[in-house]
Amino acid sequence: MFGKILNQKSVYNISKTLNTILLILTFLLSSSVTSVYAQNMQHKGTMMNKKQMMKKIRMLQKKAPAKGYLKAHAMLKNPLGLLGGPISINISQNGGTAYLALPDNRRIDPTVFGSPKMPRAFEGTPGITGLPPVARGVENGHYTKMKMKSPFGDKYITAGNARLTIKAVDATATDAAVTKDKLQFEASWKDKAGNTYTVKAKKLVTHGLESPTFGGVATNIILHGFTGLGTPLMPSEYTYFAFWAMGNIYKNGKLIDKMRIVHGMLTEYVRTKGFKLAFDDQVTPTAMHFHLMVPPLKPNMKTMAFDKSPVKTGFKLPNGMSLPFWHVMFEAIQVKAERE
Amino acid sequence: MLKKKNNSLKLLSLIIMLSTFGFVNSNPYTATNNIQTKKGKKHKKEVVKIVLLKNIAFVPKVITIKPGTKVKWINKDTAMHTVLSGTTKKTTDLFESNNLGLGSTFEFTFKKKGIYRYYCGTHPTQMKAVVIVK
Repeated sequence: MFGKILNQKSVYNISKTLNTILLILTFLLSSSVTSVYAQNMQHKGTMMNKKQMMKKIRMLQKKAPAKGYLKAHAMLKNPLGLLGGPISINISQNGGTAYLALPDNRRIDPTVFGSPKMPRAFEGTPGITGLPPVARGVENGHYTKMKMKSPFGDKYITAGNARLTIKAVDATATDAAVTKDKLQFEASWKDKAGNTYTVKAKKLVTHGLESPTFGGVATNIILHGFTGLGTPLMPSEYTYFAFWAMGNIYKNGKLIDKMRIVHGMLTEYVRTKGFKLAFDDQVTPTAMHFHLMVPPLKPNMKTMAFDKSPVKTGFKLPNGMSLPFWHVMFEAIQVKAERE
Repeated sequence: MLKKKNNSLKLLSLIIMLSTFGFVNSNPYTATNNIQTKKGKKHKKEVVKIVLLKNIAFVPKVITIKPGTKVKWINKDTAMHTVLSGTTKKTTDLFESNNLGLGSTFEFTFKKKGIYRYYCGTHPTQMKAVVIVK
C-alpha cells in the first residue's frame, strides 16, 4: 500500500517535472507564437511564475556541453591564426527569391536524436544546443515531431527582391576575446505588401556562450545535427562559411530592433522535395545555399546565458501575430573565396 | 574510327558548351549528335535540347520540340534542384530526376506528341516549365 502511494507520488512528481521542462521550452522557443500546450497548462493552474521558469532555464543552460571549452577561450587575448592563412569570402545575391521560414513543429531525425529508449542531443539550452526528450512527440516507440513550434521546420513563404552582400575574412582560428576576423553583412527582401526588411551585422561575436564562434567567422567546419555545435534541430551540415555577429533589424529603412544575434551560414543543401528541412541522410552535398538566422534570444553577459527575447521583425504572420525570428534562405547566390 | 568517334564527342561537347553560354545565336539551347552504328555509318541525328536551371528558374521556360528529341537539364545554380514531370497538384510519374547539385544533369527523351508540364520539387512555386512536343 505504502509502495503504491509512493509510486503514485513519484509518477506525479515526474509528470510535474516533465510539464515544467515543457513549459520552459515553450517559453524559450515559442515566444509570441501561440502554444496550445502552454494555454492548456495555464488552464490547469500549473503555470510557473517567471522567476521559477528562469531558474529552471539557467539550470539547463549550465549543462551545455561546450561550457568548459568556451571558458578556456573566452578571455584569450592572442588567438592563433587559421592554418594556411586567412581566407576571404564574398557572397552575393542580387534579386530573386528569399525563403522565409515560418514557425513549425520540426520532424525529429532519429540519427540525431536517437530513440525514446536511447535519446541523444538533449543537453544545453532547449532548442539551441539540445532538445530534452520530454519535448519530443512519441509514436510507436519512435520520435515524431517537436511538441512546440520553432524556427526550424518545413513551413515557409517566399519574398522577392532578395539581396545579399557579404564580405568576410576568416583569420582567427578559435574563440577568443579578440579577433582578426572581419565581416560586412547586409541582407534584405521584400514582402508581397511591398515592405522591405533588412538585417545588418554590426559587430562580430568573438566567442560563444554555448557553442564556439571561432572568432566570429568560420570556414570549412561542420555544424548542427550530431555535432553539438548549434541547434540539433537543423541537420548536420558541412559549412563552407559561417559567422556570428550582433546586428540591427530594419523595416522600410527604419531601425526596429538592435543588437540582435545575427548568424549566417553557407552550407551544403539541406532542403528536400517541397523545401522540407532535410534529415541527415537527405542532405545534398553537391549543392549549397545561404541561411540567415536571427533567433528570439539575446545573450546576457552577466549570466553568460541566453535570455528569451522575440525579435521585432515587423512581419505579421497570417494569424496576425508577429514573427518572432528571422530564418531566411538565399538560393540564387554567387560565391567567391580565396586565401589571402 | 575511334578517332572519328572522339571527334564527334568533342564536337558535341563544344556545341553543348557553346549552347550553354549562348554563343550559338540561331538556337542557343539545341545540340545535334550524329549517332553512329558499330560499322561507323551515320545512322540518324539525335537532337538534344538544353534547358538550364539558373537563378531558380528553368531557362527557357517553354520549349517546342519534335518527337524523339532528348531534353537535357543542366543545373547552373549552387542550389539543389530536381526535375519532376507534372504539376505540384498532379504528378505524372513520366520522369523524375535525382537531386541535382551544381553542374549535375538530367536527360529525358520525349517520344510522343503532347504538352508536358514539369517543375522543380525543391522550388515548386518558383520553378515551373513546359515542353511542347509536336
